[in-house]
Amino acid sequence: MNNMKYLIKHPLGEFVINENGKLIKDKNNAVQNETGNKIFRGNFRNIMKQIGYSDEKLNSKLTEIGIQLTKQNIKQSVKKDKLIIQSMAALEEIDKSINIYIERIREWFGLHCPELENKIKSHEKLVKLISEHGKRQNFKEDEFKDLIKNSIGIDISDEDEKILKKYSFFINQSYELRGYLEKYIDILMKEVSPNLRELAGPLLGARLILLGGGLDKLAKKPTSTIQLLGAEKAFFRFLKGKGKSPKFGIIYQSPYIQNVPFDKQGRVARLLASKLSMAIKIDYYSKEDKSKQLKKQLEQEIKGLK
Amino acid sequence: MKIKPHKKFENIFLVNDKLCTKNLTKGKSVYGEKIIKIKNDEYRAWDLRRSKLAAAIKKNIQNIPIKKDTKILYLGIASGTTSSHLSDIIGKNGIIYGIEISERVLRELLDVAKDRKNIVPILADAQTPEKYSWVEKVDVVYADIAMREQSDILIRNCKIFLKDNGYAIIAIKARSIDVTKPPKRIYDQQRKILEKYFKVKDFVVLDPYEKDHCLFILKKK
Repeated sequence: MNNMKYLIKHPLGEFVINENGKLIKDKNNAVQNETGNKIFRGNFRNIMKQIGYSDEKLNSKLTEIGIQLTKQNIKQSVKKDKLIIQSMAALEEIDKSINIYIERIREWFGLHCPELENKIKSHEKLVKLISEHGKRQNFKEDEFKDLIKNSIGIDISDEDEKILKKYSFFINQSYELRGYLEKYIDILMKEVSPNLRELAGPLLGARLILLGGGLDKLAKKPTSTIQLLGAEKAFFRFLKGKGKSPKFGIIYQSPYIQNVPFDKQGRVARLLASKLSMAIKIDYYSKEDKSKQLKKQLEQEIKGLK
Repeated sequence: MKIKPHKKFENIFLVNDKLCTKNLTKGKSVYGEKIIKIKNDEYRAWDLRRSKLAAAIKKNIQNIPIKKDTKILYLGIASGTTSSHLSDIIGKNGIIYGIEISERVLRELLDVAKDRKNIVPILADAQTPEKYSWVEKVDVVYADIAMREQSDILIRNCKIFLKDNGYAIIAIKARSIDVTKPPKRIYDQQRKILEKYFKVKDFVVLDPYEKDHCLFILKKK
């Protein structure tokens, strides 16, 4: 006689059944697999009768559970766009801060070796090297040998070196955090707003969500608003009577606009905004991926401009 | 007020020649439909333009496997327009497991489900039935999902959830499958796909109530 016992995990609870669909009390050695699930599925009503559920009562309970689970799941997915707003705001703040710190370290280190500070144009590279080497004498790479030899900068003590290294290391960490934030935002965008991410790129897309105040609010905005998000200062100035109306807000950063000559940028901005608006609505109201079609249409429309 | 039960279908009525179902939740309307009171009963008008099954009935479909106590898996339940009428027909002992991928839209169903107690809202993608594998085996699978692979999705769900000798109903939107081909050709193509797993019991084109839509009634082979 086959004594197979199946463990079933159902929103109503955990059950153990045998292969004839009869409920068993003993959980030991019960296996959870699709065979068991199939038997449970096929004999659901009979099994539930064994524990006293009438059809009407069972339906009522199932409905209740369905509503509860749905509410939980809705809560989970709607929150995520708010996470994008926070992390994107954090990224923008870190960028501003890094700029300020870099100005500072350059002046500070420039006292010690203006030649090196001048030569190393990349901020990230400079900070890394200072945090590793410290005093100019320690920069052993060939490209720096001549610069260090006759430096007009002041000499620094070990204590001076220590603080410079610590400060540079701190800025280096900020760069790392910045990189990490970018990757995180990309992952969030893939989940929350894939069509927008494809069309505008993860960062520009996240910025639009930030400016719009959330994906839900963004989905309700007209295309013209999306076109001008970020250009509020110029726009309201125009409304008051001064100056021309702006043609684009932050969507200016998009390669679609960057890669056309000035006289076409305004029209491309309008076409891009309308596709972005569609992408946002698709992301909010459904989970389909229409990014390829949208991109193709946009590229054709841009080509068609004379 | 002239009321008569529909000649063919259980729990469906014609009030002054308007298609109706008897209201399971007295006093409540779901999507703004008209409620007609006759003696102690309420009848809800079934909007032909918003519900594909109603349009199919109006276009003289011969077979509808949905009756009192029927258990249904509804793919693409949305906010509950059609399903509220199905809920009326099947009554308290029937049940509808409603699968919907969009939170925004499913949210509207929550109140409808709470009142009726025979609709189970499930936020999931019909393409991954493993995520709702706890659903029981049903008598009918109803599919109204406007996607290109809708027939395959229907078959996949029926393999798992449809009882032997069970029925499936699928509303096909020609434009979701291919915007360029003529609808009739698309219906024929879809029929071929569906015939691998089902026997086609009935077929009706839903124009003018729904442009370029058709409905199949299928029985598991």
